[in-house]
Amino acid sequence: MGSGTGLLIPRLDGVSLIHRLIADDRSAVMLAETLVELDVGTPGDWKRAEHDPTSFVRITLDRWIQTHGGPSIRRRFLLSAEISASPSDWAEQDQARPNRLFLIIEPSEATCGCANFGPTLQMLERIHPQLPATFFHLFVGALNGWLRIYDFRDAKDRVEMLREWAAQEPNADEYEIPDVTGSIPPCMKQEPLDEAGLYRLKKRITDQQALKLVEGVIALHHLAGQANHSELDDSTREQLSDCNPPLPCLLALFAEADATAACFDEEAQGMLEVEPEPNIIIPLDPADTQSVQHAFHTFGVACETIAAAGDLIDLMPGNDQWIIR
Amino acid sequence: MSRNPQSKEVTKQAVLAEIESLRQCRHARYQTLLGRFSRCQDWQQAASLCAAAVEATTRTYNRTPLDAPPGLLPPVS
Repeated sequence: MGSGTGLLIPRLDGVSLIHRLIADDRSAVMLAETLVELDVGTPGDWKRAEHDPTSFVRITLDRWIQTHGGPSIRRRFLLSAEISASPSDWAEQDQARPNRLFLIIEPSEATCGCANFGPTLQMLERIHPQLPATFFHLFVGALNGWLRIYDFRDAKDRVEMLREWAAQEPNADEYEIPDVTGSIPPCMKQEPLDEAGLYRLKKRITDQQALKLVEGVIALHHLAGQANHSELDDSTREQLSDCNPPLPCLLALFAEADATAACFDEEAQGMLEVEPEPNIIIPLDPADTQSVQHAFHTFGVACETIAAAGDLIDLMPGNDQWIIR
Repeated sequence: MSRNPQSKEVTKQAVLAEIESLRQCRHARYQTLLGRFSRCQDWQQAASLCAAAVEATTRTYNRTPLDAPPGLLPPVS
């Protein structure tokens, strides 16, 4: 109550302004400690994280992404990374291994990046007839090791399935099925060059843009192979058994709105009917420095590979409209 | 401008010491009732058992006893 004749505003001196509910964060505490020991985490971030291990891990993850190609990734891909106690939102934590965590990368929204290979393939075909297929397969092969790419092969599988469904209908002829085979450029039917052949050809390329593209795809190929996310064990596979395949993170087209894009649009309608598996799942034991170091190294290679792919798409003609930010 | 390596090492050791106190639950934030509860599985299990018992009791004895009308004896239970 106020005293005297004036009004008195109640004071909150000594009352805590922030209350935080702390759930069981033993894994986060262990991981924060390991990250600082390994110098993966920056001690200065501890204050920024308000002395909270979960926030510290989050800040460390953001910083790691930023120093491993974050801006290039964000230009072309909509991805999110998190560390979780289970390999997917649907999977329950494995009680037999309470200390195990998973570093996960998956699309942050129900949409994916896009790359039009058509103009690039035309440009490379003028240099060598086998160069377009070589470029495409090196690019897609490198990135597919980390993220799912939806390309003409997925579209062909879809068309095959649609044909089988349509064949069972009485009015099968009325179904309009995209002509994926007809939309594949003839140069893609060429055999890709082997590594030695590509290096020999590279020395003879005089067109500067083509040379940058070839150098870029060779670098991407080597970068992608610097680490591989190891096979998941049986218990983790079991946890993911009810999930759909991972969502595609990049749509590889030969022309804007081609048959592959049509198949993707049709197939995408059902991709979220069941929880999809994340694109990258890296298990780690937060108390084991070797395990955490390996996981963050693998994660770093994944980020740099995705960033290099984004930079390469920047160099590919006809891809200005797919920039996200 | 970056700080000298010695200062960085001091910060690192201080952070590790604080995380260690968190790991051993000696940190001040775990000394609150809620903090201790959130880390004690025995307490959590006991609370779950109590909650389940209260719910079961409510289901079994959910009748509301009425006062006997004036002039009548209360029901014999």
